[in-house]
Amino acid sequence: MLKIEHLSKSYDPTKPPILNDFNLDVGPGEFVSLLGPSGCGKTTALRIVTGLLEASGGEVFMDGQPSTGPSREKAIVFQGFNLFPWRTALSNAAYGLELQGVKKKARTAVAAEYLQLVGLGDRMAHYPSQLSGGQQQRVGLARALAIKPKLLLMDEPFGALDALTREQLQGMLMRICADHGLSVLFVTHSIDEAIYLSDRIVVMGVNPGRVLRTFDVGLRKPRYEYDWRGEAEYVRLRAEIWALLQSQIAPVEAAA
Amino acid sequence: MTTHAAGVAPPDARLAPRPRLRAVLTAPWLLRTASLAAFLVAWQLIGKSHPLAISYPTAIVEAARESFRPEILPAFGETLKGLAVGFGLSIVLGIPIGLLMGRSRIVELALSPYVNALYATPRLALVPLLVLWLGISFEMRVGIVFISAALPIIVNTYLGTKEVNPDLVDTGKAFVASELQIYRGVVLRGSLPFVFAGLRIGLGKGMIGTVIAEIMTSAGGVGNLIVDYARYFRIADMFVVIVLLGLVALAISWVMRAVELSLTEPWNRRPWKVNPLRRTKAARS
Repeated sequence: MLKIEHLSKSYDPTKPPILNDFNLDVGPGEFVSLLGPSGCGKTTALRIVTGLLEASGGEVFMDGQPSTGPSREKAIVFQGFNLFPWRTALSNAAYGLELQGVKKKARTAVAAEYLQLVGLGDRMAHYPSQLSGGQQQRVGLARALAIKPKLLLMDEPFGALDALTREQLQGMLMRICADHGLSVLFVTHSIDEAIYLSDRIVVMGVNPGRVLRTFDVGLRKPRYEYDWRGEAEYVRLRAEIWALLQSQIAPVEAAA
Repeated sequence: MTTHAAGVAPPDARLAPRPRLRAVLTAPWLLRTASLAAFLVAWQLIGKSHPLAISYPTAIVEAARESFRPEILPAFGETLKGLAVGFGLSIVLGIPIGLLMGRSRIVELALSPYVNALYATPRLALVPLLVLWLGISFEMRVGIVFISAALPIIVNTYLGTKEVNPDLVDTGKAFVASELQIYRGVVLRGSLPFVFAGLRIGLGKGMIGTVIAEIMTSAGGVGNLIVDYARYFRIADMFVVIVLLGLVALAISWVMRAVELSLTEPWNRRPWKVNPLRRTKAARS
């Protein structure tokens, strides 16, 4: 599905690159998280895959074809929601289809279907300013799903939400991913969020931004059906990832 | 507001309802009407004793009846035709120029010296030059309205594009919007409140420009009529023109405001009146 080879990005040649020799595969139906401290290049990598940023080196492939710009096969959900304030929830959710030239009746039907799916069936005529953060991000998710992408890109989508809302949306996302067989590349700095959602976790380090280690998450799915934090696998994974991330944060603090 | 039950005494004397008479006497509509009536009566009394210098309301109504069809209406037609064409041209050219300046660094660098210089120049100083180039003609009227109105429209649109959240432009790109779709659907849409501020300023400047040019050059139209009336001491007729001019300007800006609201409400509400559904609790506490 998605293949990233030797990706690099740097703005200033005198400093270590933001991203150095980054390699990644995401298979069909696979949920992969990029996990790391600020400055590890995880968001940069995601923006390059989305096509919003040009790489300094390396290549991105979708189904074997080089992918350089934005395309209909990929849809992104942003950390800051990025809904258009002048559009209703329904019209925001239909945005991608509108750009593709889908007729109004058809795109409205699809958008409404996905708003129902994310539990906003009764808020379709509301403007973003009338919705809570969690509701806005539901619209953001519906907008991404409505174009029926092969790959869903998520840039810390729940980072701006309160803890309870975050958990609720994580569960919803998991259910939707399982039902629709979505492939997801997910950026986060929360160890728990990564373990809960992912099949695979790519832990990244700073200076330069690079892959430190990849973890397979062996917890059975669906994880919303049991207390996954009570499993030995969770405890082991969390401890290992935490120790690895500490090694990335500590030197920065010592330097400062 | 009406939550006090009949039997419950207000907790604080300052919250007690004001006496009814005082509430009626201080109602805004009453104050406005009274003020206007007092002004008209005073004008009538003072004007009657100096009819040649300041005229008075009943004489103005009489003058309106006599001069409206043969003189005033044609003059307004002429002025408004130039204004409509010049203002239309300012919109059609001004908004795209402002958008381009906001989106393209090259266009911004290339045009901003001219735009800034012209914006700061009192553009009525260009009237004699335009007369020299275009003669006393319809084109000259259009030209004057254009230089007066286009610059505020360009500058406001340009400033508006800078207020558009760049993340929304990225969102458009990520969902594979064409450059035109980004201009129309994101940048222009997001700048609309600024664009309309520019249109309102531009319309005012355009009206001033065209009337002043008519006064300066005997090019016909409303400005010219005012000068003619003044020359023959037809003060009452002059007031008819001035009042009508004000009413026309008011009507146009009212229509523009209505268009603006239909395009920018309800999303562009100010924070303190966002969504009544969501604000009620906060307002009560």
